[in-house]
Amino acid sequence: MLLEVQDLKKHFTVKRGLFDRGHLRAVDGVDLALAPGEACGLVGESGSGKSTVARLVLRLLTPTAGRILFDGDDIGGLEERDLAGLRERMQMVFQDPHSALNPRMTVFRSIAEPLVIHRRLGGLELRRQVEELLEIVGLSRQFMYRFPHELSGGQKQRVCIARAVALRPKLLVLDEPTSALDVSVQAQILEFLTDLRERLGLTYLFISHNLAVIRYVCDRVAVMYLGRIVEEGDTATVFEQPKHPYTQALLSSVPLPQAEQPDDAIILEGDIPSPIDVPPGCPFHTRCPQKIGPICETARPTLAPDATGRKIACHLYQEGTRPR
Amino acid sequence: MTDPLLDIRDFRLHFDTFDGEHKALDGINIQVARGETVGIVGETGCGKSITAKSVLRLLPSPPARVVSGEIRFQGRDLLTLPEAEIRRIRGIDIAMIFQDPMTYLNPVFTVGQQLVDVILSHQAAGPSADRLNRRAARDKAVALLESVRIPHADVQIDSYPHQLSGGMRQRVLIAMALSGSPSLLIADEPTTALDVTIQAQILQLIADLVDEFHLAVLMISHDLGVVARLCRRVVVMYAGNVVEDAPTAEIFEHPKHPYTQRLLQAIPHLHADVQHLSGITGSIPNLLDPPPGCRFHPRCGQAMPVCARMKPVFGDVAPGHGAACHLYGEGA
Repeated sequence: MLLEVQDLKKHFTVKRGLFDRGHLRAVDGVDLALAPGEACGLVGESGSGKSTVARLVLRLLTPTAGRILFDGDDIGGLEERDLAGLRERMQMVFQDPHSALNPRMTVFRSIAEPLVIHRRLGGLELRRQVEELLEIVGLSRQFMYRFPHELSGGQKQRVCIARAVALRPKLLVLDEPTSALDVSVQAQILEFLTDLRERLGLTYLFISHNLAVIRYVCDRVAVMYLGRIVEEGDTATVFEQPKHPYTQALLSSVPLPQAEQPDDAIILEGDIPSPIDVPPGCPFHTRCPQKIGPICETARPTLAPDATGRKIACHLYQEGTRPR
Repeated sequence: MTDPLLDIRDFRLHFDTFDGEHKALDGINIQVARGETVGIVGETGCGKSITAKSVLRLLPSPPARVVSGEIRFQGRDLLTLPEAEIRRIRGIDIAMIFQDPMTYLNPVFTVGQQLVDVILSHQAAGPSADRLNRRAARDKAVALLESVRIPHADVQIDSYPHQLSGGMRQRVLIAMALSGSPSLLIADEPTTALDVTIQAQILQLIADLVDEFHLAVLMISHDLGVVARLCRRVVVMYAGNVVEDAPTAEIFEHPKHPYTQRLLQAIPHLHADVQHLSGITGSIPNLLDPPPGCRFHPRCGQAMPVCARMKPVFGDVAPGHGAACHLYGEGA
């Protein structure tokens, strides 16, 4: 495994009153493993903790508990000064390419920066490598001395991707990389990302709230709800036969761009609970249309694999709770 | 068709900027019948929000300048009405909801106070005989919150906006929009800021309200799925033009305009393994200096010489299905 996350937790302390301190359980016991060359998607709604998982894996945040094994090293406890070496091997692409690029830097300087910092390159060699990177992301050389405001959203995202792959990392964490783009541009970037993964042998951790995007890019998907993974498996299987009631409702909520609309859409009642007051037991029991009884309110279901290797955290499918 | 409720005719709107004239809307025609749900879809800069705002005359002028055309609502041209008259229509006969509900609520007043203010100000525009006092207005506010399915409306009415979730805030704005008993609701990306399970709730709510109050809806969205779920008819816009206008099923099953076809091919599918997504090469034109002829021709795979010379006329390509493309013009 290239990346292995074990019982990862991140709790934030939040002020609720003068003396009242609450704990926001952004990530609350996540296990995840990524094989080299794989594209794994993390989906969930706001507050599900998917972006926090990404930031923990990149060690932009320090975990409260749990282990992060990357390429054989335990990176969960690394100190700030030891992280520089890690950055060469994993990089990130953010949602809004406009705010991810320094408006005062030319495209050349933005892409060159990691090469200057980590490889101490300069002169002709630096120029040659930047040109090569521009070619990889499909931008012509004339973009080299342009500023971000002269580029379209899609072009800016390509620059961000060029900068992210400059050091030839093994893992690329993409946090909603196309959410700020129009669909026609999104299609270009998604197509390009799929192609790039093959060409450079990259591994993707792909975060998105857009399920159709995940379906296109990822081999495997993990569905998160309130800081936990509720279902995980092969993308096509999970999307065609979702088992967890939340996954079923989530998929059924997506309005489809087609003439025929399903008339059996599952519409959940109520809102997502606050991650500060996570319901006890199964966090989804407050909205679950298939709640089986008091066990859902008291016992937290574990993420258990079924016969096919898909993992589900739901009492409906757990042994000893109810035969299925 | 009888007289449409809303009839936008040959509407042309420019923005005067330091760099020149930004030709935002290039002669658009859109009709909405009573009780009809119409969606306008398109990408950034196509003019869909500007169209919506023009109907309520919400665009500051200058820089916005109406070049030609009219927007008729119940037979009256909204563009020439005096400001006092439009205020009797805005928020009352035509109501609007927006993308980010928090921006449209005042954070220092409870939703009840804001809702009561809206109800009272609407009355000021109407006949004085049936005016409500504050207490009766509050009762009406509770009833409105109940009609948008806010649980415990009598308690929630005293909440401040920050105490409510995004979905609840959007419900409050919908309640406000309903307070004037509008015949047309303009919804500008009403679910874009919401999570998908909450979006499903709000779309269901709007669909229910359409039936309950016999509302006509003009829904603006970049998400073809949202429009497919709610609207009976879809208008596709590109760079300030209406390029296609057809019943929802027609748009998705028999798209005629090359832009609509490419747009549909660019959407990743939830329930199919797609090998290749085709984006649309190039980028949207700069409307300070739009391409001559058809504004889509530089990006169109089926462009012909005529496309660069002449703007295609919008016409029927099938019964009830219109498109503006030379492929379907005379002599093509």
